[in-house]
Amino acid sequence: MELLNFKNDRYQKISKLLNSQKSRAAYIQAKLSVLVPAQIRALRIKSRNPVMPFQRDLARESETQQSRISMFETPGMANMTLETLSKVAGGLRCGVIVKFVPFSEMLRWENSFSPEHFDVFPRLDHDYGFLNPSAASIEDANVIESAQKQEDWQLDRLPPKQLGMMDGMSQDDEKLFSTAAVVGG
Amino acid sequence: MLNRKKVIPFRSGLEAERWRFYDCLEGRTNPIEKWYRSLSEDGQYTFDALLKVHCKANSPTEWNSSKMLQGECKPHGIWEWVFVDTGHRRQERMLGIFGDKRKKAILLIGCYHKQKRYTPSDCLKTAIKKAKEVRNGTAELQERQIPENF
Repeated sequence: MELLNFKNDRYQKISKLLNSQKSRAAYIQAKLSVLVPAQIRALRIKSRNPVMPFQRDLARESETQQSRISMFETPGMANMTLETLSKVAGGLRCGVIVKFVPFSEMLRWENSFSPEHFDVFPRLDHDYGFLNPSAASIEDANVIESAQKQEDWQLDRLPPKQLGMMDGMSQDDEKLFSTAAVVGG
Repeated sequence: MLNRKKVIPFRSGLEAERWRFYDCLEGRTNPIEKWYRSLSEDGQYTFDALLKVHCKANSPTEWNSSKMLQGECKPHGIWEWVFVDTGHRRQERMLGIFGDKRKKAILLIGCYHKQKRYTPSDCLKTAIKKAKEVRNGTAELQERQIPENF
């Protein structure tokens, strides 16, 4: 019964979202007002250079006041502008992407977000991809090449079904092939 | 299938045990749900999002804008979450305590805070009373569903 109510509740909310711009805006704002403060707090606590265990540390780095940081870390408390967001990101030594996405992607991102595991690495001091792109690109190319080799090796060992080779086969052929692949490794 | 080795999947943080939140009931009524319904649409969405983030925290220190209450509430281990209901333009507070098991939290009462005053004004006393009931095992609890798909 409880589960049924829960489902009905969801349908009502979805229908509201579909029909009302105000609802959609409220939904988006609610997500942002929780997830942005959660990110700021997680990044502040995990910062190593400089260490920022207290809000006043981030305030110093962002050239703002501790009370403002407290507001930024409280869901819904501060109406953050892009300017303040940039200031805080600058203090945390990381970049920000503001990107328009489908609702489903927003939900997926929210579901995957965990304050324990969220971090931005590397921060600017160690971000060699940004600081020294030419050296980083050679390193990246090596990584991509070795990944490609690994993939090719794995593809050689994959059964044909997973390689998309069985589209035109009958079911019996398919079975035979699958068995062969299993037996052959 | 490729190398026929038994693979024991590594438990990532996302699969780790999550916090479970329980509403403290009053007889047959659920005051937490009643408080939730009294929030504006913005407030309800914010509280839902807050629960979603909080349930994934490893430790309560990762909960945003939460603090242990001092004064008469301190001996009872009552904490509060703070968030702003932008629709009603006021600071909402959720008072709660930790449960008897790991990653279990009990939501005692929801209220709002304006100009250094809680409304309802007796919410701290009610929270203490409920905290005692929970510790005695006389309180009735109902697990709060966290909407994963919304």
